[in-house]
Amino acid sequence: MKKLLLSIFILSSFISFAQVDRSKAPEGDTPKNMDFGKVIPIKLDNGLSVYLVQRPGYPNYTISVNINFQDRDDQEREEYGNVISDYYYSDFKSKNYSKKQIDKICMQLGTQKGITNAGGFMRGMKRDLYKTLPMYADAIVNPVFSKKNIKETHKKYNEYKEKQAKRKITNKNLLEFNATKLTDSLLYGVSPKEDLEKSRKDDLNYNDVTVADIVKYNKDYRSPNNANLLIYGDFSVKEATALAKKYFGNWKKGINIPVKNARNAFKGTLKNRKVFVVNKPDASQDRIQVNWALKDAYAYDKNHLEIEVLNEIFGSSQMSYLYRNIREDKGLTYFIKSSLSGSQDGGRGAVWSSVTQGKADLAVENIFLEMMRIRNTEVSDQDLYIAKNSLIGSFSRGITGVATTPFLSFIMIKDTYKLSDNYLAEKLRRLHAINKDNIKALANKYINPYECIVIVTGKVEHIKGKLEKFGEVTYFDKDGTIMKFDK
Amino acid sequence: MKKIFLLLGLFLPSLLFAQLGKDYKFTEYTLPNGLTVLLHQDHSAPNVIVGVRYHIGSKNEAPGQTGLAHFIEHVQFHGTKNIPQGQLEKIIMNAGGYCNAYTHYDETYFYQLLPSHQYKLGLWVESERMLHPVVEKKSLEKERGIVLQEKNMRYHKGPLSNSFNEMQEAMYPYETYGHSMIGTEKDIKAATVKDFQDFRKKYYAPVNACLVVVGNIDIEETKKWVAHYFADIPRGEKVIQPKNYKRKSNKNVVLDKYPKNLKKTSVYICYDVCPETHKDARAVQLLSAYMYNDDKECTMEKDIKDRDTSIYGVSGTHELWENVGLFKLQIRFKNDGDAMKLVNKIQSEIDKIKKSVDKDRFLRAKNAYEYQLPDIYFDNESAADMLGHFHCVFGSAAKFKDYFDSYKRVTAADLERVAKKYLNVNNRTVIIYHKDKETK
Repeated sequence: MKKLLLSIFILSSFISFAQVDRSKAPEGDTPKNMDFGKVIPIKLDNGLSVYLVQRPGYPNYTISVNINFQDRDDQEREEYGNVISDYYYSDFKSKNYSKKQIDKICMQLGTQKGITNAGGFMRGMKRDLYKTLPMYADAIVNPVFSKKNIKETHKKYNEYKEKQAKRKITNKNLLEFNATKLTDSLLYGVSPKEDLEKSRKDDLNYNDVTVADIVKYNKDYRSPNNANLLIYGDFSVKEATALAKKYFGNWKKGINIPVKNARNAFKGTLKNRKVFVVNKPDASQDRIQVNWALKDAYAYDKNHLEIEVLNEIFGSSQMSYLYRNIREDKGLTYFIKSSLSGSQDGGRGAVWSSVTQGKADLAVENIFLEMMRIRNTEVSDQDLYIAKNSLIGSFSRGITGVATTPFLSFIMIKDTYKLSDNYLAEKLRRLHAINKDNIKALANKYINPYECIVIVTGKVEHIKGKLEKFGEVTYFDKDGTIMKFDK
Repeated sequence: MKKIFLLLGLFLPSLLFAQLGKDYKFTEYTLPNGLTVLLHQDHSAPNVIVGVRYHIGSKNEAPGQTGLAHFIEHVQFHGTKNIPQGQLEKIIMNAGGYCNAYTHYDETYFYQLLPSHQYKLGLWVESERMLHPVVEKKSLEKERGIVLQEKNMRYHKGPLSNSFNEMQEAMYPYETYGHSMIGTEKDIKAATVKDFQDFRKKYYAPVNACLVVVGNIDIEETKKWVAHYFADIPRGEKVIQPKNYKRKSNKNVVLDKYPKNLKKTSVYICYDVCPETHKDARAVQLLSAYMYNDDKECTMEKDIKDRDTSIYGVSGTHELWENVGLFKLQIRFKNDGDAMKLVNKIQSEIDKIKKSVDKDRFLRAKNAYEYQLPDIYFDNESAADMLGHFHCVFGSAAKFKDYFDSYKRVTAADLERVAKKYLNVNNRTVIIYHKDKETK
């Protein structure tokens, strides 16, 4: 009887799968669990933000300190930062250890490390963690500066200046003609001249820098309240907290540096469509760039994942509207790509491709057609499914296994963009939840064929007169001189 | 009592780490058609890896058909009876997946990384590829061009780019490990659709394969879907592996070569050591790490360079296959020099190792390995790769569990022993690549 029941059970389990239908791909299941990428925050009294990523059973660890002072508005003298940076690249000595001692022990234990002015990392076998961590923490928390460090940095700076003088390096190329600068100026209000002024640094003066200055700067800004610590491996919350407190708890709090403003007011002025043609007599293809502003789409805004999906459908993947039309259907190009990205000055939208010579007008026309299509018609279930899958797949592959990079990248930007501690853990769920309405609304808002700049670079004789239907066209030669043609 | 606790505390970590590998759980079974199935469940991962490994590689190719195993790997990405030509990769990508493959002397491995809820798609695609891939003339011609480009890129880029193949050829019989994995240009150009069909039919069958599914799966449900897609695939014939692997000579072999445009004389020294499955393999690997590692202060390069200013660099590696193993050293002169004098000098450094291995240096090499190895068990892509490899080449996936410990057991004395056993003059093939005097 038992055997009979067993046979019936086995048979029934095969019956439900009995007919093998190989003619079509099986449907995906509904994901059962999407909580991957969990980061546990722990805050120390000295302001150090600790983030624990647990990998039960994993015998290795990664500890990484990231001091964010470089990423923030910093009004202090550049000389101080340079001395500290050089200190960590030279044979430094912290309060209790020398670099040579640390190198020797790490090499012996198979521990990897990188210690810099911005923190650095240590990776190794957890069984050796407490042999190496005191050294790592001491090197970060207790650097000992000397006049020698200042002298060495000063010497390096003088050598650099001499080399520059010999090479006669100037910033002239920043002002040379470049069609992209026209785009930046019109779309985002960025002035090349202002950029040049910003990049021209005043001469640095090391003569009046003292050890006390460096110590104070280090104490004020390389401080736990401006830093975070990643602990990755087989740690309980209790152990990670105890570890952080023991080795970094005595690190003295410094001055809070305000987080850099991640949103500048949008300064663009373009109200119509402009076309620029740049003559390149030796070109074998016509290079096309279409640029427009996403205005209020700042980096990591609440809609940024939806915008990523929109971009996948519009032009970022091999299944996108642009790829299927311009490459697969018309055969005008090997590649075409779009990008919709948030940035500090407002989001940027772009399409770029190199197409068959003399076919730029046809390609531009079809780019605009696809821009209109995604604005005016609902995306298909299939297109949305593929686009979401692509992003879900690449995110999943990134955080799997023993990869620490996604976690490090996240904690380094989370304050700047005010991301929640659960940002990574919620990402898959958010991607799965995106629907067609989200995409339609964002396409209308952020795909803008009316206020955009088209730049076509190629042999002008093949292009002349064909692009006027898209808007006012200006022709430049390679040096940026406007070209005039007889009517 | 306190002392006992203290002692326990001291030994506890090593006791815990000793379980690494041994605790790696997987399910292994064989379908009636001979296909071995290896499943590992990891609910902490968002992905699943679906891979099929065939115990077929370049050493199974007949003379005149070199490169066929690698070529067939390429064309099997085009389509099947139910997957239209050019759609196979797209289907995987559209589901959020990634796919790739590799071929070497011993094996061919196709694999996909998919979000876990799409794992059935991976099973379907691999079963299609196993049951009825379609090779069309058009896709064959396309891939022929790509393979020839790959050959140019890998082996004809610079004057020494083909040194790997030249050493294999100098050491082993042409029909097994003595020909290049990518094949000769003549053979690649001569391959026909019929050659592919015959080769595929002969070898790429369940009985010569294993299916690996690793990641966020339910074991029982996966078993059902595996049976659903793979159980009706005909068994095929078990591959008869070739037998001739013996090094061509049992003497010291020295060859001179004069490649065009070579700016610095280079010397390649290669010893015939043991295969990957041999009990000495781990000691050979650690001996290589002992001699060459990231520690610039503590390598053979430093030992040699400190005494000879004419040397630009010394590097080394090992290539252990299923049936043979190579222990390689490459020495580059700053310009030119007496190559045989240098070879003798290297040999005398090796002879010192035979007498005494530096214990500190040994520990460094071993610790570096011990640090890197756990990732193989915790990264599902690597674990899937290794499980299948152990099944095919070692004859047992369960031996993967001992992989970590097999390194831990190696002692400094083992390094001395394997150096004495293998790194001898009569076990050595030397190729001297002389600089091109016309090139400045």
